[in-house]
Amino acid sequence: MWNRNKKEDDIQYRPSSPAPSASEQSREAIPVSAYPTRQTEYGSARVTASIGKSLVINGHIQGKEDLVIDGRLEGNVDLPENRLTVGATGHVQGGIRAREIVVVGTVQGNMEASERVEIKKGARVIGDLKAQRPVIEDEAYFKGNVETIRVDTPKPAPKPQQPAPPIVDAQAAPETKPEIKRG
Amino acid sequence: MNWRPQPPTSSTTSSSNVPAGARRSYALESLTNLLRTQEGLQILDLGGLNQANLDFVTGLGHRLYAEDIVKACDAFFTKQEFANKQFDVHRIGQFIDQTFDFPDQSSDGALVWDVLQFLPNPIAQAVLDRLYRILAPESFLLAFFHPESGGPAAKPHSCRIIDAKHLMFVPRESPRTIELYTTRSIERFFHKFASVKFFLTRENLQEVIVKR
Repeated sequence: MWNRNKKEDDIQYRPSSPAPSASEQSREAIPVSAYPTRQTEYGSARVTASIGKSLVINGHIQGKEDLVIDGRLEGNVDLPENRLTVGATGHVQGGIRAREIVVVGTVQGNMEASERVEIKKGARVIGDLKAQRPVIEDEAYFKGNVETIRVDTPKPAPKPQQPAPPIVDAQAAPETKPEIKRG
Repeated sequence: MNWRPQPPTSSTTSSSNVPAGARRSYALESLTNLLRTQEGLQILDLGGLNQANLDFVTGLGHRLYAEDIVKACDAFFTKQEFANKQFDVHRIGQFIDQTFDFPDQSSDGALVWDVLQFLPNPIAQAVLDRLYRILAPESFLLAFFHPESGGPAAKPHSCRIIDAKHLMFVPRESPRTIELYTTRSIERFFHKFASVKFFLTRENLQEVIVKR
């Protein structure tokens, strides 16, 4: 489950070789399409690792790929460059650190996201939240402290000053009068 | 709700940006002026977190602690206890300890909204006693008291800050009934606090700013 990407790569980039034997064929009968890109119900079309509904994990998770938790995790999650989604049936008891966190289920623990935390309708979160952009939908239950991370945007470089338009001396300019042509 | 609060830094508000249903709140305006004088304050929001209040308070450079006291109360006490209106002192103590797990004088302000009216009186009093302990001296508390026992006003509301002067009240579902308070009983309710300032609105809603 965790090495899905790796398996895909292995199969896809295997150098061409003579026709495999029958035993090899049976061993390698799994086509690449058996590892489809997982389209999650939470809107991500990227390949993500997932912890299924019936799984219970005791321990810490760290890595460099997106993760969807639909099962139960007791431990911390550390995905500093990726997105963590706690699905509707997901339950995390522990701290979470990720680039982006989306909670549809339950989290009991502190959350820190370098970018966005989204707590969806019906989600239940007990713990402190620190993020650049915390988003909390109506009817989500949240108990805890919220702190936004302020990102100081660099000030735009000052524009080079354009030369001022020449000042026309009204007195020096020749006085022109509208010419009226009379037929 | 699609609207977002106005940037708190703007000192004036044009009424054209205010969505329909929003109401002017002088207590909120007074409170915003207090919040603007400092940064990094710890503010409690006891009405349940919503995006508008989160954006407004954190936009002013403060931290927000959120809890939905009415929901927490419903989850802690049994239907039997609510029906009999009999609440054991130890149970109330447990609820308060579980809900307000803060060191003394650690908070700089509390947005109580209309929550106290939807808690049974002994629990509301216990909440207020604990708030007195956890609020720092000179800090403030904002509370609202509806005058009616029926109609839409007699339901708990989600109070959303539109901008420094405007609020929106969104009714929310709750089985709790309203407890009515007169001006006198509100003063008695906050007797431990240093001062109570009333702002009377057109609908006789009492807006109160209490100083610790």
